[in-house]
Amino acid sequence: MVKGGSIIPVITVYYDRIFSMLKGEISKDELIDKIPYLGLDIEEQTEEYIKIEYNPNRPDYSTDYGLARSLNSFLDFETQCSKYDVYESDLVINIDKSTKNVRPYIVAAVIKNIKLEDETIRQIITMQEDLHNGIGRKRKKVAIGIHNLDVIESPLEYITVDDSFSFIPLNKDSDMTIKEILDSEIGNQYASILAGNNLYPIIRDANKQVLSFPPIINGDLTRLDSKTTNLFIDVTGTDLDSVCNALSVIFTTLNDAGGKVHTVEINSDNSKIKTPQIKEEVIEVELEYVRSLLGLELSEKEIIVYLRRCRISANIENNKVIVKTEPFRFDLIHPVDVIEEIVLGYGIHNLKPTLPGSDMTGGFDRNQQFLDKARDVLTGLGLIEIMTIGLISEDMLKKSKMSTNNLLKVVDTKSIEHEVLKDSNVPSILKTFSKNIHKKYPQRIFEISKVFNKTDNEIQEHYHLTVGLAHATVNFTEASSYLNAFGKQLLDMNLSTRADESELFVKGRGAEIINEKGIKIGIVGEINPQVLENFALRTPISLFDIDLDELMKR
Amino acid sequence: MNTNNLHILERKLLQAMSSRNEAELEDLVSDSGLTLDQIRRSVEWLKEKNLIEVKINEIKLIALGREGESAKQKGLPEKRLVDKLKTGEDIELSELPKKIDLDQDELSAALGYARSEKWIKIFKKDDRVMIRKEGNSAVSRVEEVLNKISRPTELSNFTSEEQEILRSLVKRPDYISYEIVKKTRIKITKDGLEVAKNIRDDNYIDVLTPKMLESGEWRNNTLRPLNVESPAPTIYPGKKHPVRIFIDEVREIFVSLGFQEVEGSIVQSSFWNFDALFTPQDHPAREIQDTFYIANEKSPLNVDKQILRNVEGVHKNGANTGSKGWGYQWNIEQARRMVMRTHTTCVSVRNLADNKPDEARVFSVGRVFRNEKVTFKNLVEFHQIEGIVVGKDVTLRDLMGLLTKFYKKLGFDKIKFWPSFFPYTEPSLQSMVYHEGLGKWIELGGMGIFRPEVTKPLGVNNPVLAWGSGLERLVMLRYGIDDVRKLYENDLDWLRGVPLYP
Repeated sequence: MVKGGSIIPVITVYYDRIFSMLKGEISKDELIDKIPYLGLDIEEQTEEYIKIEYNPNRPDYSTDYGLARSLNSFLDFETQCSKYDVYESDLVINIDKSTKNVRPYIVAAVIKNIKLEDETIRQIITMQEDLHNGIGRKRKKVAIGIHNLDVIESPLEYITVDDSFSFIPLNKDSDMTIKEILDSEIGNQYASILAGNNLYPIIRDANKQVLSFPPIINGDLTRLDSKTTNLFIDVTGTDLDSVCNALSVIFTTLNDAGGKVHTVEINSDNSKIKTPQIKEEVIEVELEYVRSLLGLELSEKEIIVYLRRCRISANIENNKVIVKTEPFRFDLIHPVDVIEEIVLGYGIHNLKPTLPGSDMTGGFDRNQQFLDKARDVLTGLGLIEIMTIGLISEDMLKKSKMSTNNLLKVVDTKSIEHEVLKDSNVPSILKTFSKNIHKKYPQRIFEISKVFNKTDNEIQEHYHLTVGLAHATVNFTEASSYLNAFGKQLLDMNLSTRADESELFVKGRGAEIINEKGIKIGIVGEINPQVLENFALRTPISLFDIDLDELMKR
Repeated sequence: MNTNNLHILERKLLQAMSSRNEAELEDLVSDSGLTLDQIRRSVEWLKEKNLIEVKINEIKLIALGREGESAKQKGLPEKRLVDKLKTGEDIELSELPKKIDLDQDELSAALGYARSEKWIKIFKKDDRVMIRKEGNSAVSRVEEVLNKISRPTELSNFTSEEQEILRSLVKRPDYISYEIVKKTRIKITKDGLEVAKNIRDDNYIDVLTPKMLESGEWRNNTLRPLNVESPAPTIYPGKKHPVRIFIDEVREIFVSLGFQEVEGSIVQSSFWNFDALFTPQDHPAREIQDTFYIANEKSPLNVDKQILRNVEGVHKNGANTGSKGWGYQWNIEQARRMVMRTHTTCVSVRNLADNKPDEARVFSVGRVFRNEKVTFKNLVEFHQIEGIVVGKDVTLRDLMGLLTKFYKKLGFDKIKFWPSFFPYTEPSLQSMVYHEGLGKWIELGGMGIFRPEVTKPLGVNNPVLAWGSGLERLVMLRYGIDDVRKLYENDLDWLRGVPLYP
């Protein structure tokens, strides 16, 4: 398995802060040693801080508060799971039903009495960005606004406006219309999320002052500074679970940062709810499933301890582990996720490898075996195997005078060197010769690789063999001899040729390779000097190219 | 000096030299019967032994350019111009191109030269530019010089007056070019002559021929001893590509551990590449900046209808797998989009869907694709190794055990594991092996147990252990390469030189 190309989030953790948050003693070295066993990768270490990669399914790790919380349990500094005290505020949001078709969901929280030191603000911003990019899918699914509570007045309203509506966006000193904002740099980045509507979502307060234009930008009104102590958080989006999950990460983190969490009343036409809600999710796992998947005969007591180390409270009834999860652990969606928590609590480094009981007989794939033998024949003939990249440029095909019809192209390639699926090995053989013009001749090479084309509305992948011969006196006959030797030595098969005109070859010196039924399965010939010139080649080349799938069928 | 200490090439060359005293390398080809390459090598050796002296002369060669060649064939343009005109006749300048076969560049050059030689006069009459012939073109010395150049000719073959003319010709574009060539001249020394004489006089033969064997003549002669300690010319064998050699080694290891090899298509539907692996349709890994989608291609998705329904259900709400699912409306159109596979895990999963085994060990090694910028550590296309194990009683510890064995067979004795995350396995682990040569731990593959959300919809009920790793990293370690691009540049020096069992 290979990790996806998508960006893996990174947090910066300062030793002085993390040590002040830990409820027990541990050295720097021990800390560095333990962190990977939480499933986190240490990317960089300095005297002051460490940079840590976490997996996007665990956004609770997007701040040092989240890391400290996990470590306290993992290192047995804390044996109780946190309780989140949630108070009621008198803040109300009224939802206008026009938002339903634009950005339908909004949840919110109020955090009071929080001290916003510079590093705390930085950590909160990292969390916000990571949530935007991760479960927020670049703000499409979830966007978060963090505001100074003290400058706004309840009730707030979540409404829609048209693009002539204006307000002062964050870090600006005068009004801008929605249209102007969407055309600006930040607007441009996210405008597509709201495309297709002539209406735009706005959050304003009782005095019609704008807090936010989600998911694009906040109003300047509620900007945070180091004196801010009370926060209003809005989370809007297109998926209810996702906005609630994001809010859970935020309020639990700000709670750990010292804030007092308060609810906000959210009113729409037909409902009235208070958020954040602490949903207690329960997951049941069969004891037998735990033991058999891990290969560990764990006692009930052990299981409870190991889960507690991962901040999961559990009890065992009727041979089932019953767990209650913290609100930000929405990554636990199946009993196996709980099993992983148990083994993390047990400690991966404590697991002793075993081998599966039953024995099996292995074997090679038949086609691959065919190709193995083909390579034996070719290397026995003195040829050197080359391997090239299967995505090539259209220009390379043109230079080889190969057909450029019906090509399969990839979308949005980052390099035009790699834009089409090659439908022949010939260009890569010629390119290889071209790169080796200063190397010792004679040069005799081959490539076995899949080539792609579309026939009968279906994408075909066939293994092709191409043999290229380059030296001062190379000719059709030599290529033909190698072809015969290949057919004879591999399959005891006579591969005959039939005259054919192709722009790739010198006129009168190119042919089709045909099988015993007279069907074309390849080409052989002396390369046209114009093609040689296109590849800056100054030595004659002969080659043959044959569809190996046609031979494998026999 | 004992002539037997000389290489056969050296002897042949000395003998050829003995009659000439001094010669250029090229001249010795026919006398010695050696190739130029062989002559060069023996010259080096003989020089060391002070049997010959080597002098390198720089020679200036003159060659004709395209215009010069044309002037040599047809005459200088100014001569061709004047020869066409009649004395005393006035012609309008604009009429000239019709009368004379000269292109625009040649014509203006011709007018310039003819006027400076005072063969023509150019003047104005009633606002028209006229031209009049005033004298005949001399039999040009220039043309004589041009005629002397048939192929690159040494400058020293020209008189000083001719060299003056050559210098003036340089000003004409593409007439002549100078080239400096190094010529090696060799001279036989006194010792050399002595040795050459000895060679002539001794009774050794150099080559044993079939004829001698047939006739028994070999009994009357002695084969000359050779310098058996001297280096021999390099020859190269046919060879598999180093990456292929490594792939074959990995395949052998898998088979020795009881795994059956499978292969699958490179172009896959998103269904097999992503959906069947429980990757939600809005997952960042599915975006075009990470994955190569094929333009305008949709898969007909000829997949068992039940599997399609199961996968849809598992994404939506977990269906009957015990999972909550991802909680969104799955869209079959997204699943139809064709991709260059981003991992070989889709091959493993299709194999599971086709065979629904209760017990199996399956592996594949294949190419995978990522839409990335090519750098010293990233390629758009690379190889992935993947193995899966299906069994009623297989455990996470078994997976660790198999992997330990696998890497041990590849030469890594120390391995450690720690937790990781993949969307389609749980629990998931990452592995590191200790590289003795580098003296450090290197991160290799990921592994885990396929989530029930992956296996159950395919009809596979037993746990499936899976591990995978990139291949190129391992190949680079084997051959001591630090730029991954080198693997697929196919530099023939590297391919010819790289040892099979380093």
